[in-house]
Amino acid sequence: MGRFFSDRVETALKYIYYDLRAGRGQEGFQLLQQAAQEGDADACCLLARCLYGPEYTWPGHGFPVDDRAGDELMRRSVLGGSAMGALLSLRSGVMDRQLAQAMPLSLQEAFDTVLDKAEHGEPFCQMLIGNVYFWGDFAAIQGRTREDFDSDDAVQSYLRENYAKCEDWLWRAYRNGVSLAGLNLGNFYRNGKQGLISPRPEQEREVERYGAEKGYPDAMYFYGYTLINEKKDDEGLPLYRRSAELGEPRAFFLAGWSYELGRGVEKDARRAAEYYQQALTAPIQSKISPANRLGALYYEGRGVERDYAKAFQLLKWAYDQDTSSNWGAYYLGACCANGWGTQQDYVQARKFLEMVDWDSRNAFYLLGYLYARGLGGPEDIPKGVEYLQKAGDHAEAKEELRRYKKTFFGKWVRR
Amino acid sequence: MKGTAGQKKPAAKRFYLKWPWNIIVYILLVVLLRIFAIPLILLIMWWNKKQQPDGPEEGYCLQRTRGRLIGLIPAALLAVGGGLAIWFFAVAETMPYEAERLKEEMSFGYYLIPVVGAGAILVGLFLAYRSLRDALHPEKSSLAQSIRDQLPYPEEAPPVKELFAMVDQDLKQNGQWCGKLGVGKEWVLGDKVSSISRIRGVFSRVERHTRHAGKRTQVTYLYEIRIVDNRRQQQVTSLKSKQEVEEAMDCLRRRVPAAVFGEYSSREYNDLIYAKDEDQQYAQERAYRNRAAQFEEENRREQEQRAQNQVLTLPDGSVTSRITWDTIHQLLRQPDQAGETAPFQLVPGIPFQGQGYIFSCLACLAGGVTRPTRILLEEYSGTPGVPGRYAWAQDLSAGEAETVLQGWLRGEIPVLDGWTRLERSGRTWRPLDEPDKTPSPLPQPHPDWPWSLTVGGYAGSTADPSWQDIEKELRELIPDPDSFLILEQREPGNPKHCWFIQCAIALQGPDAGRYAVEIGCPSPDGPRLWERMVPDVQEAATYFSAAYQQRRIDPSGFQETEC
Repeated sequence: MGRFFSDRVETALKYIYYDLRAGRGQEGFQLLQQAAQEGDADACCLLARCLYGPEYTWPGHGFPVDDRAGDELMRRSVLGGSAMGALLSLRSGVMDRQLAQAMPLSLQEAFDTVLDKAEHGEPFCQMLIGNVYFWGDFAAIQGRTREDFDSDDAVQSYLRENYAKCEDWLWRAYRNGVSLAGLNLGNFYRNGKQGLISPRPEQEREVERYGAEKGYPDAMYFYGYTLINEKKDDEGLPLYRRSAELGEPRAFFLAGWSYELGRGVEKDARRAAEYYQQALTAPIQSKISPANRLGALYYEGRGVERDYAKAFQLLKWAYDQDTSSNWGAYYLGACCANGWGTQQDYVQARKFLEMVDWDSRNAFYLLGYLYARGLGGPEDIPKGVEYLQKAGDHAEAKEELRRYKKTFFGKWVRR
Repeated sequence: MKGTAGQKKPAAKRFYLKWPWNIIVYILLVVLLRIFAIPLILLIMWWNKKQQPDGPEEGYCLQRTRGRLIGLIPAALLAVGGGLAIWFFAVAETMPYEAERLKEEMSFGYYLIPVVGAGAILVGLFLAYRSLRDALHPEKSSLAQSIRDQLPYPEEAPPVKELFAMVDQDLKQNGQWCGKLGVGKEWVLGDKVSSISRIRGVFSRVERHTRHAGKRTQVTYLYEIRIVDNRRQQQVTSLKSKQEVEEAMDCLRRRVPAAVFGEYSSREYNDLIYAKDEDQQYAQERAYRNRAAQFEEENRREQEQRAQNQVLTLPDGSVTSRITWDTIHQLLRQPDQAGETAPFQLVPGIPFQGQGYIFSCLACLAGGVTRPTRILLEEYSGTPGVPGRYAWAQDLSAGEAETVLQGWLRGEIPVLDGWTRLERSGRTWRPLDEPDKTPSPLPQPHPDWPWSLTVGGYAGSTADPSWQDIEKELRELIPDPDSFLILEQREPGNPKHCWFIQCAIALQGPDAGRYAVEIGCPSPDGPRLWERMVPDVQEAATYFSAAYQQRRIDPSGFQETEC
């Protein structure tokens, strides 16, 4: 038995919340599963929190998401008498009247138990107490309603006083290694509490900076993002790379991008490809950019072995997610025109190549070729020649141009 | 870019003035019209060239040697000039007073007149002899000699016909033309012939010479390509413009990347031409071979990377175009190791053609050694991405499956005897009751009925159109309701019996922008129409070409539609 919880739970808390850099989240998850199976009520609510999604732990752990199983575990935790479970179920929406009546502890007792552990230095409990104050759950726990106050001012004063307590608890948890506590702390500083506490955005930056200096992967990502927004790429991108090295999935794309383009670091296409690949498999939302970039690397054979099928699959997927984007248009057009990685389809090739709105000699050559030969649509030699001429020094375009000549009357015809 | 669309269509034979009739006609014109014959001759020459769009029928080399007849003109001018000089001298000698005056005025020059005249006649005769020799005896021509010089054993060279055919064939298949310089894959034809494997240096000469005579300033330009071979012999070709020289240099750079390129009289040129020292020559040859090996390696690597002409979908759904025989072999053996069948499929970027059909996909359900392996070859629907209607399937032993897959990786279709023809039925396939080579009763054109061509927007039709006319009209189709083309046959004596193939560009719907090729004919039950959508004019042209020239159309992909 540990100081605050069972050994397994304490080890799991360390792996999942306090030491992200160790990359042992999965081990922590398994420990929680084992403890939950043996009826450990604290383990049940922590496992439920893992199953609710990466925003409740850390995307780098890659835990499965299963809301229904999470709710079930949360109920088991509450009924099993876990004080943490009671507070967490309040926040997760599992706590209904039936469960409240059936639980062995009152909410206030649960709060007091967790508070005691927090005061004795348990970081996760410190975050829980901080969250109770941050989300305003304190009123429900204390059973206070409007009627308990003499005036609106008294209500305001009560709320202001309690909301403000979150700052201290979240800072304690944050300093003690729970980087997740920095998220709500940052939100608290950024947004304040409407009508009660004024926002202090400069403090949010300080939270991120502190976390980054402490080596929290997620804080490094957030602080890097802030610095890049402030046009301080030289300071922001190294943080992204360090964060990605520690397994922060949200940093993979920009870390890969900086390696691909050699921004503040030596160019390394292989490493870039690895990061893009990791970004694609990570539990994050924004995958279009890494898909496009990795597709281009597969097309060009940079950092990975050239594979047109993979290139086309990735680029087409990215295009299908956002058909207004023309990022991969040239590559898709070239694949369709040549039958690389997909069936040769001149109609599609024209469609994609016509989306190219930047100066691309390769695209001009292909478009010129298709127009002049009437592939994928009606033949239009003058337009084809115009594109071929726009291709400039492109060797194949110059060779293709020799197939056509200008007549005495200025019309371009086949030679 | 490689594709079915890039193929050349066979052109119908056209009339033109053949050798030596063209020369006879030119001579007759000159006799009749004198100087006024020149524009007419030029016009006939242009027309003759236009009538042979695929290059001269007699061959490039023979045309070049026969073209040497043009040398008769300077030869004649020299001979006439020389004759006049001698005549002038002879006449002067009959008039002693005039002869004395000329002697006084010209002193020694007077006696040079008959010598120069005789010299001019001799040069003229030599030029005439050379022109006639090249034109009438190609085997003795300097062009034939230059080809022999490029062979490893010139004394064992084949007859001139074979020599010329060798060069002509290469130029016809691979030739890039920069003015009169033709660059093939093995030969370069200019004023002389060079073997590409022997080329060690290519040098351009672009010079402007100005000559002042009294108040006149005469400017002449010199445009030359000088090819130096591994025996340090030069083949010099004169071109017409700087642009032609630049194009020729570009083209040769691509064909002989390992050769030294530069300008005439540059240090590189002098080093190559005047390398007398054996060590120096050896070092140059070694440097050339190193460069060639480097380019070959780069080329090989590039080819290896580019040879990803298929997409392999693995049993787990992932795709790759890096397909090796090891991967396929492993998939075929997977059931023996994992105990379950391993489905995978191979889709070529450009459908494979063979056994009279076009195939777009091979699907394989590997059975390992113990169970048969089922292979299904899906016929191409005619539109990329659209599933085919027919397929061929066969259960094969492990060894047979390997043979089929090895062939497929090379783009080869197995012999389909004994395979079952299937028709798509929803998401699965069902066997066709009668495996017939003609999948739909698509009517074929009649071998003896004459053709007529109707073009949308023009009244009436053209009887007996040429293939060039049909192709030209096809290419001029635009997305417009009035833009269409009908190639039609009617039975002589019974015009109610007809067959036609028509084409227009679809204006709307999912096929907008594609070409609709339709084949129709009357039947006892009323008119019938078969349709196929194709992505581009090239593919549409293949059907018109097949109808017009071979009178047989591949029915794959055509579907009967309501008239």
